[in-house]
Amino acid sequence: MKENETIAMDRVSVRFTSQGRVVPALDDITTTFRLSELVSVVGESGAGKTTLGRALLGLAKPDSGAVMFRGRNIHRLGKREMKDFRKHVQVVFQDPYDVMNPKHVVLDYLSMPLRFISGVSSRADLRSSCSGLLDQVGLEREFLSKYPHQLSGGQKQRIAIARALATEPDFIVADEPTSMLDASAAAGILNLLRKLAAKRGMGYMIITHNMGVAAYASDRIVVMYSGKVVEDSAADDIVNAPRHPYTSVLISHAPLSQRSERKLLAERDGSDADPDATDPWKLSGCRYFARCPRGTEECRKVFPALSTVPGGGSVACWNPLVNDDGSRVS
Amino acid sequence: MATTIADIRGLSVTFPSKKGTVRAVDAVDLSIEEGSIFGIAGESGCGKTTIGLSLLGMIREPGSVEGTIAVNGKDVTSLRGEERRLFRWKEVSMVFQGAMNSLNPVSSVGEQITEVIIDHTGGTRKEAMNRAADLLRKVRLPSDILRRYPHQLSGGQKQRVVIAMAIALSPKLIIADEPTTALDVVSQEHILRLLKEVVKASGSTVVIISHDLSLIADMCDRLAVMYLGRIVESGRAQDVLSSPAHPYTRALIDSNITLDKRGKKVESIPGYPPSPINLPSNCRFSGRCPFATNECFDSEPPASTLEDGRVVYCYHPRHGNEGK
Repeated sequence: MKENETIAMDRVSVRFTSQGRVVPALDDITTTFRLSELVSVVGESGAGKTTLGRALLGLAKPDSGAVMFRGRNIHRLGKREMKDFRKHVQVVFQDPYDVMNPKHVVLDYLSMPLRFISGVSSRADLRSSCSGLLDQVGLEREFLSKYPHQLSGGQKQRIAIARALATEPDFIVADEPTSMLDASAAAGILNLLRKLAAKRGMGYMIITHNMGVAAYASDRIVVMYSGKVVEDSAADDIVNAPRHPYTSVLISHAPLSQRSERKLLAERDGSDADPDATDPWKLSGCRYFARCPRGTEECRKVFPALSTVPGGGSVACWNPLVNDDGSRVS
Repeated sequence: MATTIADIRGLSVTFPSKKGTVRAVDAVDLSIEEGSIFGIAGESGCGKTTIGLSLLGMIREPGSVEGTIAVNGKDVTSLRGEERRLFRWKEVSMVFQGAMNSLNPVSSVGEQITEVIIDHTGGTRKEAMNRAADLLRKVRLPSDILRRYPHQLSGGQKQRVVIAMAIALSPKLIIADEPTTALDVVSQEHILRLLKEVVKASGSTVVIISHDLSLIADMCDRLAVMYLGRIVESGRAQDVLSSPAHPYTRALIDSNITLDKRGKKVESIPGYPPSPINLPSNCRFSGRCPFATNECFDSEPPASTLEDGRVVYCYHPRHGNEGK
């Protein structure tokens, strides 16, 4: 691996203004992803996971900090270099129906990046390149002449992936690629992404609220809560020995084949508390404090920094579920 | 023996389309016991939501309904106008898929709940407000939510409001269509537990419609698995999940990505279901079934009843873990 084959965030914050107050959707995030890495970002709605993906893609401009692609700040790139960046880092959205023009056939949709980014222009070349793309995602060339409404959810998502592949990217950011799909179609999409990554030496980031999907599709899992990364560890550790109390709650609620075998971990019931006192954005300390079963006074006052823990991985918690020798607190 | 609250016989629901008639539900029989939680599972397009709408008498023109639907002894298909309007909410209510978006954004939670109550029971605004506050307590929401607007609530809170409305008039039957799909896992659990509690307390019957078989198995007493407009397997929920007899049920369970599948290969079901226009006259799953034989391709399998009382429409039902 070359030293700079990475896409990284250096103290990135992205703020939105909502109902007259400033909400940090991403709050001082520093992390590095290898371009060949299979990673998932997990969190509930509002955790900032989509904003993290958009910031990496250059679609959300940081209010402070920098996104670095191969060692260069993507917001300091010239026009041509930016085009090159778009070629290398591609995106697949949650609902492909939203981004496909209902009046365009699949051929038109797949041709766009080839024409505008890769500079293919002849009709014959476009046609053959597009059939090649369909083949990579397991669809027959007949699909070139279909309209979006003639496609199932799984087929649409395959076509969105084919389009992302058009520029031969090094890294794909997929935002909830399976949340609109039936179980069987979802498995097909994740298997496809894994196969493509292995075949092309490409990495991906899957943004999902589903811990099962993250565990199935990735080697590393980043857990977010209220704009902060609270745990960033190998997927095996996240699944078998989560160290952050929030991660362990998520894992205990994650789907199992035999649902009745789950042992649900409870959070602190904050429903009767004063909403201002439990508003994650108004706390100076840990954002998860109001719900955390392990919270102490220290947690209320100071936000714990993301730091490495014995046994590997990083956790932002004053009382992580890990002992000094790396064993898990029972 | 428990009484039947909803009884569906030979139900077919069709919709005209440019290419021909779509049979969303095709000759379905279903009977639901009073006080139970009943699940309908299946992939998108299998007809499960259409059954829910049929129970409410909500299939509109140009859709057409054949067969009989009896809810609480009333023939739903013959209800018209005012009679039908009163039947909804009061006898059957529905929590829609993405229900959190079915609230009116420009009126407060209190106004929306009291509207339902006043409309059906007469009564004063004050009585209705008291009743609404009471309902919010039942779904564990603070009463100041009454003054709030939908955009001020979280997804889980909105879902609780919708459930409060569904139980407002103590209906005999509540239909919940994918009640938790839009929520994160922790709120999902709270909503499901709440739904279960509310049902126990009120003695209502609940039909849960979901593509998530494990959720249904966890919540429901009995379930029916649908494929392309037909029920393919029905029985006690735990039996069906622990030893699915229909190859489709098995494939559906196996293709579900769960935490314990890490490091294993999850196979998606090969191929696609046939079109609901011009339905085949053989087994509808035969084209995708690993166990299909000549008879499956020739004719539609009749119902067979297993020892545990399960009904399966398959020539080769699986037993235990056979064929896994």
